[in-house]
Parts: sequence; C-alpha cells; structure tokens
Amino acid sequence: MIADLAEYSVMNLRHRSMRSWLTIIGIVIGVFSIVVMISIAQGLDKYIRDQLSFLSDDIITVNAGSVSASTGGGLVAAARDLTESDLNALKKLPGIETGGGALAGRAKMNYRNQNISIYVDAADPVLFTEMFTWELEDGRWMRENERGAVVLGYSVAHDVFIHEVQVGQRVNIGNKSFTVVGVAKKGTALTSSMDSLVFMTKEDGREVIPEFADNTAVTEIDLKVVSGANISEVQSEVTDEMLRRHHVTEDEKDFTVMSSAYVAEQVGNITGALSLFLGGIAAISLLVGSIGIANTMLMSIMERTREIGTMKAVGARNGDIMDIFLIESGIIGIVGGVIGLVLSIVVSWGMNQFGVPSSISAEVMAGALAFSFVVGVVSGYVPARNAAELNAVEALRYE
Amino acid sequence: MEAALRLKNVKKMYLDGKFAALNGVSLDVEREEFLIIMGRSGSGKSTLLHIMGCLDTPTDGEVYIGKVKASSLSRDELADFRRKKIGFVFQTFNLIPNLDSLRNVALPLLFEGIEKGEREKKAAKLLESVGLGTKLHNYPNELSGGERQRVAIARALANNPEIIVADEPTGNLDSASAKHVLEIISDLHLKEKKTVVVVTHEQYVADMGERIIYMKDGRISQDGKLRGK
Repeated sequence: MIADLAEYSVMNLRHRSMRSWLTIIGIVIGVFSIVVMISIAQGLDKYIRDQLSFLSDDIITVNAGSVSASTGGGLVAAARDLTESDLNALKKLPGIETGGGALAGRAKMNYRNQNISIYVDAADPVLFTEMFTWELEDGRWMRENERGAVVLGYSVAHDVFIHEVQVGQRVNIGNKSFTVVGVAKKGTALTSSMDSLVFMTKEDGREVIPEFADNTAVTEIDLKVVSGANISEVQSEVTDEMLRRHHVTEDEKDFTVMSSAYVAEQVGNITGALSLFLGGIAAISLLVGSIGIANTMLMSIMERTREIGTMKAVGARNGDIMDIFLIESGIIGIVGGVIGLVLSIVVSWGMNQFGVPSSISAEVMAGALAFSFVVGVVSGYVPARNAAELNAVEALRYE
Repeated sequence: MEAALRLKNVKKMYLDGKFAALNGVSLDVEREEFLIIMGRSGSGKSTLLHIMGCLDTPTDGEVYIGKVKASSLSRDELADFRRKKIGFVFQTFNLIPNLDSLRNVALPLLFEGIEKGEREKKAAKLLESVGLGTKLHNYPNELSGGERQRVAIARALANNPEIIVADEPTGNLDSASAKHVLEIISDLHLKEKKTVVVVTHEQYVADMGERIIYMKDGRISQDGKLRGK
C-alpha cells in the first residue's frame, strides 16, 4: 500500500516537476552546506590527530602549575616546582613502566663565533629513545649518563647559523662545550617548534640553564604506562600520589596531569564545538529549505483541494491522504539529501586536492540522508495533516 | 423488502444552526430503485445526495445504508464504507489530472489495498465496459467531456458498489455525450441491478428514473413514482 501511495506521490511530483526541483534545490543547498562544514571540521580533527600521532597513547605527562576554572582556564603559576623526588616516587607506582624528567629554558649558544639565544630541552634520554618518536635525520640520541652531547633541532642545525652545523662538530652552550651527536628531522606543522630546540641530558641542562643550576627541580615529568594498563586509572593514581606528596587538595592542585588520551579528548572537544558551530550556521540554510518544502506542500494542497475531496469520495481514509503528502515531502527531502551529499563528497574531494583538510565520515553521510528525510517529513507534516482533515464536501466544492 | 437507503428525520445545519440545508428529511430508497432528486438551486438536493452517499454526516437524524447505521460510523469507518458500498459520479468529473484513465479508475482499488496488477486489470475491464478500451493511458486533458464522465463512471464502479450516486452527471456534457452517459447509467440500473440516485435539473434525465422527489427549502416537497414505472 505504501509503495503504491509512493508511486502516486512520485507522479504528483513529476507533474509539477519545476516546482519540485526548485524545492529540492533548497534542500540540496542546506544538506550540502551542513555536510561540507562538518567535513571541514572533521578534516581538521583528523589533521590535528595525525599531527599529534607522535604522542604515544601510553604516556602520562605531569607539568608544574594547574589549569583552573578560577583563573579562566589559564595555567596557574607553579606554587612549587616538580622535583626529582616526585619523578622517582612516580616511577615506582605499579602502573608505570619507566619515566623521565625534563628541564627547559633559554641559554646562549656559540658556533664559529656566532652567538645566539636558543631554547634548551634537557631531559632523561629515555624520553627521546623510548617514549617519544621524534626521528633524527642524522646521528643518534644522547645515551644514559652521557655528558657533553647534544642533538640539534632541524632549524638550529641548518638555518640559524651562517654555517650549517653537522654531526661530530663542537658547539658551545652556556659555558660548556658540546659535541653534536644528532640532528632531528624537520618537524611537522604542529611540532615545528622542535626545529628550533637543542636537546641534551638533564644533567647537562642543569649546567647551562641558570635557573636549574643549584636545585633538583624539573619542569615536566613523562611517564610510560605498563602495557595493558588502564591509562585513566594510572592517571588517577599519579594525580593521587602528587596530591599526597605536595600536601594539596584537588582544588589547590599545583600541577597538571595529562595523557595523550586527555589531549585527544581536548582536541575532540574543540573540533566537536567547531563542527557544531559550523554545522549550526549551515543548518540555517537547511531551515530555509525546509520552509520551502512546507510552502510547496501548502501550495500543492491548495491547488489539489478538489483532488483531495475526490480521493475522499472514492474511499481514501484521512491516513491515506496524510501518507500521500508526507511521502511527497519526504521524497523532496531525501532526493535533496542525496544530491546534496553527492555534491559535498565531490567538493570535499576537491578541497583535499587543494590541501584543505576535509573528511566525510560514514556517520555524517548516513546522518545527512536521515536528517534530510526527517526535515522533509517534518516540514510536510502540518500541510499533510491539513490536507487529511479537509472536509470532503467543502473540498469538492473548492474552486 | 429492506431499503437500500433510509433517512430518518435528517437535518443538516450550517452557520451555527441558523441555516438548515436539510430540515427533517425522511426517505426510504428501495434496493435497485432509480431515484431522481430535483429542485431549485439551494433547495438541499446536493446536501441530501452527499449525506445519502456518506460523504457528509447529518447534524441530526439517522442514516441507514442497508442495515448499517451510517450516521454512527467513525470517520475512517465511513471512508471504508463509502469505498465498498457507494460509487460517486460528479458533474465536473473530478478526475485526477496527473493520472491516466487506468490509474484514475484504479484509485478506489488502491485505497482498498488491492495489488497493482489486479487493480489495473480490473480498471481496464471497467474502461472497456464504458467504451474506453482504447484510451486506457490517456490523461483527462486528452479526453472529451463525455469520455471523462465515462471514466468517472468506471471509477465509481471500481469496487462494485451497491449504490451509485450521481450529482448532475450530464450537466457539463453536450447532448450526444449526455445521451451516452445516461445509457450507461440506465444499464447500471437495469442490467447491473444497482440502486441509483441522481440529482438533476434536466427533465429528460429525470424521465429515466422510476421515482422522483422534489426538494424545497431543505424538505421533500413532492415524492412520487414516474408514470408507467
């Protein structure tokens, strides 16, 4: 019965093909806008996640300072630094396989009588060799307890000095002489800041960065979680241990514990909000399209009032009349949705060719089609109900 | 003999009861009877026809179709009942413009839930019976007035109803077409044994009936058998 009514509805739409297509175009524009906007947000999400892929998903990072709502989400200045003893205590937690600390700060660097100020990332070598997957274009990372060895970021080696610095050459940092043992590969967009860093061991860092000279402070602790452990649970244990060690409550926290899962969640939140924002703007065009459907259906019903009266006279129930008009508006919606989706896929592909990240997931495709059908049916509901409830005799008399 | 149609003190009021289109009409129509309803414009004859055809409901009074009290049926029950028991023929044909003759005739069968192949077969047979076997796929705007009315008659017969109600069936036709249509309606009465109710202004149409009632001010002013019938 529904299939027969659908056939009848298609005939009606074809009979008024110009108007049907104009209405469909409204939905095409709406669906196209939404899908393209969401595809841009999804493409951005995928792009950022790809860029963050150097973050292993089994790493927990502890930083000094905390993100607090009371400061508007800013990082509160460290009430106290993280220390080597924090690092040693955290490394002993059951869910932790290994870990290391890092210091960071500015220092003077000299190469062939050229002086510059550079940013030093001084860390336990385990961070470079086992925990992060930063690749080298030449040489090797520092070894455990090795002193006087540095790895240069790509720009430091190739761009900063008049003469390029190569593995095996000597440079001066602070008042200390170092041998360049490696040069890092050029970073990707999100990790390009690494290109201007100089990497060394924590012990050497304490000699060249003045503020870490006479203490055991570290600016960051990175911990590798035991394989198979639940990272969220271990993250909680790390937080509890730090609260205990620093004698602070959750509200007074002077450190931040993050995992790649947390970062991914934050990225997801941002791109999700972006999707919602862009999709919301685009939804306005779909709303206009749906008003177009309602308008078309109302006009169609007015023109077909006698026809509705005739159908009632030959025994159509109110439900049959309603079905006919709902199917018509649903068809407008779904055809508009399909065309809009195909157009968005083509445009998304084109954007990717021009380097604009864009990605349409199967969920978005299915959602767009379902949504366009629902928009069609919802827009047609009131007109269809009006049609169904027309008085047969009055409808037959309608001029 | 049980009446095909029975109206008991039927009233139809409009304008919040200020205007009575029907003002206490009681009427029995026998099975296989050919009833003519005449009267001036506004006398209530079309309202009476609509109520007899279950297309409208009375404000007061009772309507029986056979043993069924139609005036107590729900909206959907009334639609089902109308589809199975009553065939309508209108002055303005009321064909669906974007359906061809075959699909127009098959429309009541669609609402009856009959499968496509069967309903098209039945519709084709009905169109052949009214002399339109060669115009199955013509749209209404490709047909003459007389042909359109014959399509409408075929549609009225789709569910093989017991009662045919026709509102000025020749009102928009030239005399040759009108004659052809009247012959078909007459055959429905004489050969198919249908109960036929026709509203008309035309005396030559009225002359075909067995019984004639005149409506005046929402009441039956005269009711009698036609001579020789």
